[in-house]
Amino acid sequence: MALITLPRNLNIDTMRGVYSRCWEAVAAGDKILILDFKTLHFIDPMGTTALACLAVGFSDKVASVSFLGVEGDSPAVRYLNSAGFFESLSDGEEARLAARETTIEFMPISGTEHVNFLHMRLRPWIAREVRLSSDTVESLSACIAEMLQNIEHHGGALGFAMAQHYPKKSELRIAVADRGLGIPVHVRRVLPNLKDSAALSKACERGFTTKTNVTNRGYGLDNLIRYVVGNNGGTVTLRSRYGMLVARRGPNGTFLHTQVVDWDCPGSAVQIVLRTDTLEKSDEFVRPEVFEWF
Amino acid sequence: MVLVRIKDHVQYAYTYEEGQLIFDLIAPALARGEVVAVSFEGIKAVPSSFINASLLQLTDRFSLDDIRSRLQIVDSTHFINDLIKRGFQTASEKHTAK
Repeated sequence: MALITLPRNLNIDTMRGVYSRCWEAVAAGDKILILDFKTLHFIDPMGTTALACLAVGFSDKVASVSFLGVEGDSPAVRYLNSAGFFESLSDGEEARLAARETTIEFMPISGTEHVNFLHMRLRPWIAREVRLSSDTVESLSACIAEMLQNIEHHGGALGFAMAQHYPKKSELRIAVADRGLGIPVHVRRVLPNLKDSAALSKACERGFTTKTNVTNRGYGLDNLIRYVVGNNGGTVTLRSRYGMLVARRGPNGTFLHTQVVDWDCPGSAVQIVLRTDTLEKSDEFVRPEVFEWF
Repeated sequence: MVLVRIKDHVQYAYTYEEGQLIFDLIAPALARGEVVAVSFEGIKAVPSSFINASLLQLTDRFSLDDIRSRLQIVDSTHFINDLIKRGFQTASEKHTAK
């Protein structure tokens, strides 16, 4: 049995320590991993979905993963409790706190469930919480679809989604993580010599496709970045295997920063950070326009 | 002319499968030599998977010139037009590069 103490601030960067301690415990023969939430004070949506992937992933590799300190009073534990995180992932019967208006309920998603999740839950929540026009919500939904459909097309059996509005920072964060093979693995089927970070960059290139299925023509990530970074001025963070890519606005337009990371993030994790103060400008995107062939 | 009003056939215009339904209406009409107008009435934005299946898949069966001359996009928005045009442009560049 191994006790894994979570860091004070859990995000995709600090997940590194959690993963390494879990792997070390498994290598030492531990069959039970206990994730200790007592010290956790802040967790963002990407950290939440990545932690869920870790818990479910190691449950498949060792006898069990359980949670400690989930009855605590730390802000992060109360936050995860109200979002339904513990209810979704553990067998415990902790009393769930009332859902917060600024948080979309933590959601395990498999197969085609992302369709209902987007249209029946996420869209209405964004419209109500961020108070956007229906036009803006529609264009934003098409952009979010590019993230969610990745779970069905590449994510294997299961993925997780989470969204959080930070009104004081005028930010909307939406994170999706899946337990698939990871983007670099798919890219290397076509370009075998690419490192993980370069593979992520390649995957964002318009028209590049690994043709892993008939639905993929290589436009999804490019569309996501165009909308979030180019249109909104937000950021897109993509983490998969040993690669990381951050797309943000630079002095000469959209800038993709890639780096090799020293720990293996199974599957893929994506987070978009949208500026809510500029989101309504997206109305311009959906103005009626006569189509003309080029 | 054949008019395909997307909202008459699919609920959201969101998934590849919904796009495939639209493709199955467009492709046979184009194969018969007809002009097809695809109406996005009531739709402001769609994800790429829907466009991939409904429209870009046509490039597997028809030449771009053929598509341009007999496929019309109507009742659309800047968002949708941009997605369609960039998709066909990329397909055209790839075809030229072959």
